[in-house]
Amino acid sequence: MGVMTEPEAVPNDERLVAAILSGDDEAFVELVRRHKRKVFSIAARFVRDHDELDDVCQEVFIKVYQNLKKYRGDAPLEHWVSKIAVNACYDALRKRSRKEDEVPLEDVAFALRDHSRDEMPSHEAWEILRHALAKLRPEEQMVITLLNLEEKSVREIAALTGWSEAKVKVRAFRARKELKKILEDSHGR
Amino acid sequence: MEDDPNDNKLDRLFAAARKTESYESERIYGFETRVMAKIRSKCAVERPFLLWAWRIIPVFVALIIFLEVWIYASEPPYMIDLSAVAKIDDEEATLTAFLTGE
Repeated sequence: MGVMTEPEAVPNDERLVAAILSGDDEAFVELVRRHKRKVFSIAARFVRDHDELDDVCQEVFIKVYQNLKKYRGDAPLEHWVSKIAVNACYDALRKRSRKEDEVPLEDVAFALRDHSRDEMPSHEAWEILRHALAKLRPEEQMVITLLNLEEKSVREIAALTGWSEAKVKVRAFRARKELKKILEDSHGR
Repeated sequence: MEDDPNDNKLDRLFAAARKTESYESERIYGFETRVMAKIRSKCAVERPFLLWAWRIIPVFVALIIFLEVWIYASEPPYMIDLSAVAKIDDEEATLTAFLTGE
């Protein structure tokens, strides 16, 4: 119970990890509390609804719990958790890619025509993008979401996904090209 | 690339989408409790064999002790049967005599 009952300042991640590995479940609760916002913000860009968001985030922290022994401490814990989150999202995208997106893009693309000049409401923009992104391949969805919505650098994406920087650039280029084509096609109809 | 109107349109779309809250903040309340419940239920599913194995260790220890005591108690006292030894010696002497022709 050591870490959570001590009166001193909030323990750092390193001490938290040590406490969890020695069997302190309260320390793991604190770890989840500390990193859940980050995991939710990453996963929310890749899931379709609240239930899937909760499932993916739970899966992330279960993996963190099961693999904490492998954490070497050479990078901040947040980076390590983010990497697990990105991999869990990629797995979810790949599972989903076998199924067709039920809502046709044409049903939401009207907003793109209506707001072609003035600023588009953010919610509409997100809905259009979400449906257009669903038509891309999982690796393209992953790279363009991290690059353009999460505003990560190519280097950061490479570190999170384990892909080379060259591969990230190529996939980002293809994804953007494909996304433009999807939006143009839906706009033209 | 900057001159492509579709690129500009896409960039504006991304910029607008970034402003949305990616998730509703109330979703994260009580999340740690749900995670811990799931971890515990997962562990409960994965560990019944281990728990069962730990529980039967005293049974095995008791069984081994019982067998040791039983074997010790049922063994006859160690006695040398001198007639049997003498018989073996006789057999060896006969065999030697037969083989050597004496």
